[in-house]
Amino acid sequence: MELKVENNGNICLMNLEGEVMIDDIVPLRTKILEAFENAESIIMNFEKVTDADIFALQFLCSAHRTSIALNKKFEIEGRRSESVKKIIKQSGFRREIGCVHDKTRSCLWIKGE
Amino acid sequence: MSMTDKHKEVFREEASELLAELEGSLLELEETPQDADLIGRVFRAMHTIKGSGAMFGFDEIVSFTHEIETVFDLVRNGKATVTKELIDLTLEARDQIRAMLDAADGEPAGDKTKRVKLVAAFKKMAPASAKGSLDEKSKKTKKEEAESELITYRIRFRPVADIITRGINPLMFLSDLSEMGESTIVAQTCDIPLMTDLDPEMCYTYWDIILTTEFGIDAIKDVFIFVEDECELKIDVIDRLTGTDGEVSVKKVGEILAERGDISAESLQNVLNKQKRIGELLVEEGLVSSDQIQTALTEQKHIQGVRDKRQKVETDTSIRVASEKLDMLVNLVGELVTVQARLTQTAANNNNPELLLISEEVERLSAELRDNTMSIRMLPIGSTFSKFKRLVRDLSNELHKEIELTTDGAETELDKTVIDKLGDPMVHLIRNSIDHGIELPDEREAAGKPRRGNLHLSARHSGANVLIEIIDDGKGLDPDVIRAKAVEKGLISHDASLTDKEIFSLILLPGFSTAKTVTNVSGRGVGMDVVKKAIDSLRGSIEIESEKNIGTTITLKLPLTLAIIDGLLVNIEQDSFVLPLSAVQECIELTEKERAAAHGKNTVTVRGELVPYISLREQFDMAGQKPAIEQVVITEVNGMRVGFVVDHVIGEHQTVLKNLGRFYKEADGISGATILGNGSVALILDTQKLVESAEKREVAR
Repeated sequence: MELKVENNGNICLMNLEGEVMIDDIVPLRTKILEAFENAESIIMNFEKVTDADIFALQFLCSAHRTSIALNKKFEIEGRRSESVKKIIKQSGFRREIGCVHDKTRSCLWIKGE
Repeated sequence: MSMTDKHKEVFREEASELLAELEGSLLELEETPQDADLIGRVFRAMHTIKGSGAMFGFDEIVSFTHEIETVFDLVRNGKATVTKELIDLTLEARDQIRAMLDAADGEPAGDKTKRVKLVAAFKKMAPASAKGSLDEKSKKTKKEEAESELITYRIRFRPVADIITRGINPLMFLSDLSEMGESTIVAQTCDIPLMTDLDPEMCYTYWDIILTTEFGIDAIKDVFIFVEDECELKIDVIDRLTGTDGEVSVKKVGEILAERGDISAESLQNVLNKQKRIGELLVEEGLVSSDQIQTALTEQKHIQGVRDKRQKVETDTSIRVASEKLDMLVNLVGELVTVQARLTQTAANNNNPELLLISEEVERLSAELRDNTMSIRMLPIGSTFSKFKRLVRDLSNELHKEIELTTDGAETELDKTVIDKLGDPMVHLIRNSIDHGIELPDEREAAGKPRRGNLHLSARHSGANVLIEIIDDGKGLDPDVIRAKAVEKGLISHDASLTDKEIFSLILLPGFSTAKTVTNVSGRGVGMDVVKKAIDSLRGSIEIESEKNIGTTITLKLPLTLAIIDGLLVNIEQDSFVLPLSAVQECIELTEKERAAAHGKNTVTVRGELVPYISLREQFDMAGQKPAIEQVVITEVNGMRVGFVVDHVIGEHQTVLKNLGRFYKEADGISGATILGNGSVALILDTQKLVESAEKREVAR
């Protein structure tokens, strides 16, 4: 995984590239927590992510949940690759409505593949 | 036949179709080895043969197929690649499975030693580590429930949090379940903690899976067999759909009121819009979480989807009927047509208007029934064409030639009987093209042709016939060589004046072969006359066109059907004959004056064109006095207009073809018989044979 961070005022843009797997969670967490200290909103660009695993998806849920707890925003943008769409579908993360923690109705997986 | 036997029979039929599809897929895969769709098709064919085979006790097929499936599973997952060796081995394996299937029908069981070798070769391709996963999967091939029953399960799978540290990825189980049927998977994420509390290696997610499958509960449990102590697993049946399940949903009160007109649909909708949904109400009351609503909604949607699909399948589905039953149906329709002819005749003789009306109605219905029945027996010729792909591939390899097979008109339909009987002659013609026609790559290159030769098979309709062409771009036929050979064999005199087309047709004579060496492929000198006989027996004809160094085109002209044809009924004295209506062009009168004008030659002038004719009275040595005005039925035979002189033309007749039997096999010019309305027999004329024998007589004179 490669991560490039761009700060634009209150918005932090994180560009991810390559595979995002269980081993990438620790460094990614550090970066996201750092970003939350300075920015109000994190936008993670997933366009160049080639693959992910269940643990990475679980982590993104956790990041979203953390953003709600901190009263901040966490979004994923960019067209997702076929492999990413596949893992989201296969692992059942795609949703019709957000989970119990999704108070801001900003679930990452609604209708999202 | 017991239920088990019936199921076995169904399996054999399905497996045969799968093997045909498998062969096609393999040959295509050889061209495009990266094609994931084709790889998937090969895998699925093997998987289905193995799975269904296990259900019906075809253990040998199951264990043999398992090895091939293992290798293709690796290919499917990108862990192995498609090679020529793999295609070769799989094609051989396919033949062995075919032999094992046939063995169940009492045929020889194929070559067991070869199978052992093949298994060893496939095992060599699949590393030992890859075998485990498929062995696990093979447990799922046991369909424990009745074949037509679809069961929907709700599965809750909650693995232990540290499952990944035990080397197990939960995704594997979700994928395995997805392969068992139609599934909807919902990840339950409510337990995932905030980032600060998250251990990246812990699985906080659990899953609810709605699975609709034919498999039984034990097969589902088998998926989790290796983690049964490391997960919480709950499986409930939530819906059953059988083939005869007539479950009808009960209408809601609002729907009934709207249907009865007590309330308008619009008013109903307005009231309903004010109403909160049950999910929202329950969440508001704090009785359930939105996650639980999500799962329930998914479950509802899944079941509705499966039911809709099932209903569509039930309405769209086609049925499989044994071909013998169709043959019997055609025979019965034939009998009905014969009886109908009797009814029509009786009605005409009695001059009873009511009976005439009924007979006309019966005639109309029987004609419709005939056409419909015949259409059921029509099959596209494509399945026959695709069989030849393998033949061309194997022969090209054997003869070290590079040949591409192209086809056209695969959708052209022909009677099943014609298609069945067409296989052998086509094989022979293709063998000939490959062996004698298409040159070796170097020779082709030297002749300025592409190294790769082309063999083209095409089919198209032409009136009541189908034309099948076998076209190669090989060296073509040499008329001089054929002529010299024919003279040497005494088939023609050395000064005979023949066109190229006539010379080419000499190769259809018995014992004719110009091949210098006898090969396994062709050239035994027993080929083309056998082909001609086979095509003749189908009431068809062969035409050969060829150009030196350009190629050869062999055209087979075949009738659409062999069971019932439209004929033209004619009489000579008291005897009746039928000419195939498809060959008839027109009928004219032949007077004594016209006969005299021809100066003893059997020709008549039609609109300035001289048309030769055959007098059937003379042909069949029939006694009696010919009428002053005879009738000439002008037909088209081999592209020529030829007349047949008869006493009277009666009219069109639905002709049910009956064989003459062995004693009359050699009767020249007669292709069969039919029974008329008055119970008498009419002979069906073979116009082509009649012309050929007339030509021979003329030459002898």
